[in-house]
Amino acid sequence: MKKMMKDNQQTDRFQRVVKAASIHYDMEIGKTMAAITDDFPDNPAAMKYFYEKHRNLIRNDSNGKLPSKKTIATLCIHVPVELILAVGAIPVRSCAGAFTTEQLGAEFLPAKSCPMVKSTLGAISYNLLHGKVQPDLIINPATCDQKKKLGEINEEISEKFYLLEMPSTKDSEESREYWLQTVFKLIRKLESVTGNKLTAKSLKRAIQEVAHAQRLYRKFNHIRTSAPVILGKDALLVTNAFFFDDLESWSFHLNLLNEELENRMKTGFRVVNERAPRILLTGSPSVFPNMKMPLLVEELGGFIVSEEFCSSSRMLWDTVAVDEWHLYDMIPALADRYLKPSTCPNFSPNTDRIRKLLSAIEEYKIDGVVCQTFTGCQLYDMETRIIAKAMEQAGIQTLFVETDYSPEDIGQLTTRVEAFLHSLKHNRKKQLI
Amino acid sequence: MYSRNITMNYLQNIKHKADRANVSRLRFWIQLFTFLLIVYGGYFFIHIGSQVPTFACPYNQGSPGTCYLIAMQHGLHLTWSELVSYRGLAFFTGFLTFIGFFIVFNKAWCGFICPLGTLQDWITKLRYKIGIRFSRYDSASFQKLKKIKYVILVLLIAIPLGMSNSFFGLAPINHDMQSPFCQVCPGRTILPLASADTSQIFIDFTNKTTLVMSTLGILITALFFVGAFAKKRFFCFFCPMSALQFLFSRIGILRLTKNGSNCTRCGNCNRVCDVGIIGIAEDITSKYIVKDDCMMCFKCVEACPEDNCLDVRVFNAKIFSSTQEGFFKRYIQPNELSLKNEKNDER
Amino acid sequence: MIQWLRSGSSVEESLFSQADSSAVLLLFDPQKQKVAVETIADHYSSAFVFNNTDEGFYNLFYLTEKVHNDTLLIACASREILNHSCRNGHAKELKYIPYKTFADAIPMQIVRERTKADDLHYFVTSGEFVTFRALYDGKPAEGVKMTLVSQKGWKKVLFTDDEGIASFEIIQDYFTNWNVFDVKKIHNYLLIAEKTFTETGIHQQKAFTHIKYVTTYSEAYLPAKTNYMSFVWGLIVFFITVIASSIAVYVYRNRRNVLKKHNYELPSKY
Repeated sequence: MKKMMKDNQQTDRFQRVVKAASIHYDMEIGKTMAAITDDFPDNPAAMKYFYEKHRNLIRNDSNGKLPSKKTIATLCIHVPVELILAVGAIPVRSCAGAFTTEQLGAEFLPAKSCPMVKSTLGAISYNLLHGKVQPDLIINPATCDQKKKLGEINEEISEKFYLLEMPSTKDSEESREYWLQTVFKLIRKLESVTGNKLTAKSLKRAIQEVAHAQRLYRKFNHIRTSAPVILGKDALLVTNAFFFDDLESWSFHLNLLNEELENRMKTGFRVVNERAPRILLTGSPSVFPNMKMPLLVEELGGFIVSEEFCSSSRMLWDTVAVDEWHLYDMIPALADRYLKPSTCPNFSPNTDRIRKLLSAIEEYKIDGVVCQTFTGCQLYDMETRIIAKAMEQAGIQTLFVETDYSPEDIGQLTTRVEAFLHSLKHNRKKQLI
Repeated sequence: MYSRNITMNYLQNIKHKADRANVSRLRFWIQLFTFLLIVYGGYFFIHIGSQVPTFACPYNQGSPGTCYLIAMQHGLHLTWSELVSYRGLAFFTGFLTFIGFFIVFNKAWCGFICPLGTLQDWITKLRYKIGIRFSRYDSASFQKLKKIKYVILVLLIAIPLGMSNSFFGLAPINHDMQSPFCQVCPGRTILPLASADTSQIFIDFTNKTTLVMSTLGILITALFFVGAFAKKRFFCFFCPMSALQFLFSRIGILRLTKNGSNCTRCGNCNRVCDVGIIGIAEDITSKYIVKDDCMMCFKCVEACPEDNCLDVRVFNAKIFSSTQEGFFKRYIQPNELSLKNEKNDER
Repeated sequence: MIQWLRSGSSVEESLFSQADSSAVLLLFDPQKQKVAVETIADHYSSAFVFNNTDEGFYNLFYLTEKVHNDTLLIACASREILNHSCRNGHAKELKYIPYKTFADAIPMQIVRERTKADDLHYFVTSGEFVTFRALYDGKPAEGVKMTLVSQKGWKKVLFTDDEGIASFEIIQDYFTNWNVFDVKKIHNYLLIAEKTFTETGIHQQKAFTHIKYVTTYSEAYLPAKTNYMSFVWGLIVFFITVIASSIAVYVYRNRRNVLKKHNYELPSKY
């Protein structure tokens, strides 16, 4: 009797927390969306779809998911989305960006933890993922320390977690073989969860569909970086929608957006003036609704041309190249794509990231780099030293910012960003003279 | 000035079209054409000389020319004193002719023209149709095995010289070794089959030397077929012609270059490479990226999804580059997709 | 006394041969020009040495004339010596080389009829039908007794027809044990052509009533290709290797199959 009462109390508490948190989360989303849409003029018409998708993020059934398909939550960029699609499940990338859920997650984790990990754990524990889905499986790659331990912290949800073993380096042949074995084990797990067998046909279809989406993203990227027709805050929303949106629908609407932006290019339409410094954002990823840095930079007159985040380019850029369309080649090709080009700081050495940054800076004519690190993220923090040295050698001005999800440090950040943008404009004038 | 712009635009347009071309399909037709040429060309009185940088086997009656390896072995039946006489000059001129032929297409002789290579590619297509998976070498085995072709090259130079001269005071090698590589080359047994000539499939019981050599020849022929079935371009890894060609590959007219700063090390190039060269993906510093096993089939360039990372050049002018659009155009098969809007595929 | 000529590459190979001091030696190069010959003779051997620089067939004739029991015996031993080495390089297609006649040099000449395959690489092989023609004064001689002798002494006798032709099948008289790999020995056959004419005269203070022409022709031949080149064995080794290596590759790939470790069966097309 007592136990039942206790359980009831637990459940009662749980329900209350969920209800309160939903409301706060929705408010947080509303506030961010208002800043995104209202603080800037000239939002592209095709962005309306993405705005709505995000506005309804925490509302039930906002994504029209088919109840017959299983939902599989993923974290990081290392889970092969094509595999999940091929076994007939729906992938939902569940890295969370809400301050509301960060406060929920703080209940389980040490104070100095990464805010994204706290937020993700909070969201999972209290059923506050995108669209309020309750996933049948949560695939957790063993990348950074904090992500790795996530599955153990909250015993009530730990059975849902599946640890995806990751090598710590991507250069050696053994690491590739290890990763391939991990992928095979993952396939077996997925098949047992969904009850469907992986076939060559379904995997080929999935690879082709994702490739089509990637092609559209690359075109989008090309448009963005050639002409100032869309702001970074909108671009981030587009890639963020990829986390949870239906692939077909996402591709379709991105295509519409591309067309609209190309029309803008033809008419010479600009969303920023010529003096706006071109910024490259990198570091810990900005996940909606944590749009603090992108919004700040652009509200203060910067123009985010590109970003090197795992919530945007790292997730969508690299392609799968298959030589023979049978499973024996498709699966290793898939595995390679999710390991080899990855510039996640989890891997050592990560010289590929430096090269990528330098290549992007040169190609997109970047004036300055803004590198954000979440407090408590050891990996990104350590890499900032390496990046600082590389940027210094290349002569690129960089702003290093340490932040988290809470809105308290906006004042301080505003000052710093303003000063940075000002010095970029000043340098540019000097160069022009 | 105006007309120069027009020409440049026109050339650029051609280059853009070329960048999206399906080189693999083109290569299939070129291989078919050159296979027929090298196996039957002699019947049409075509003569391309005896310094051909690929396997044009004279044991095949219909061959329009002679592979340089046999000319090289014949030419090395010289004593040291003859080597520095006018006979040596003949060898030297033949060698220069070989280099001249070779540098025109560089290693593409292997990828587009070699009949043994074409045969292996057809066997690979058969295996693909059946659905049997292929094998790859792991990097340790790769590094060890790739040295074999140099050993074979050295032997095929040393043994004919050893037949006319004595090395280190030892007796000259038995004349029955003749052209030692030709006795073990799969081209000798296989290419005449195209003219329904089975006379090269034999074990020669004349004496122990011929017995060993002819048995080796049959063994290698059998391994050629089994190997080509299990691994793409199996024989090319051990080919002494490839080793000989690589020595002059740097001065080739057709070139394959890489711009390492554009490389994301995604490894697509290594994945589609028939021979399995890792250097193409991992080497981000070298410009001239042709390694000794490379057969310049350009599958890597087709599979590279970054702009201007891998380029095919004639001298220094790019004629085919890796491009994002090219990759997607070759790669995405629209009938596989169920998407509503396909307008983007035309661009 | 029947004499015949052997050719070789060194003087040591000429042991146990005896030359007749009264004989005349004629050597013609491939352009039918006379070539000087050096004779090295002692009790046990006699060798004729010459420089061979031209490529082609050299014709050697060794003539003796003797009167014996009323018969003038004119004996001629003939041989064709081939000088050719592929090392010197030659065209891919070798030309057909016809035989040469020397009517003014020797009275009765034996020639081997050439086939279309006769070029610098041709070798007579056992099992072949070889046609010989007897020429007297440059014209075909009828009724000449031709005896073909193999190296072991097997003989066959034929008479030439009105065109001077007699065809022999070169037999193989050399067989080895199965475990001895030395089949391709070069042997020589000897063809003896004899014809007697009725004619009187005096030769070196001796009178004769008949003239007998004896011409010998010797040549090297090889055993037939099928004796040492086996197509069947080639096929056997080929198929055994294919099957053995296929099994080896299959077993190796099976054992290294990553999936087996996880007891995981991927559907059909893995």
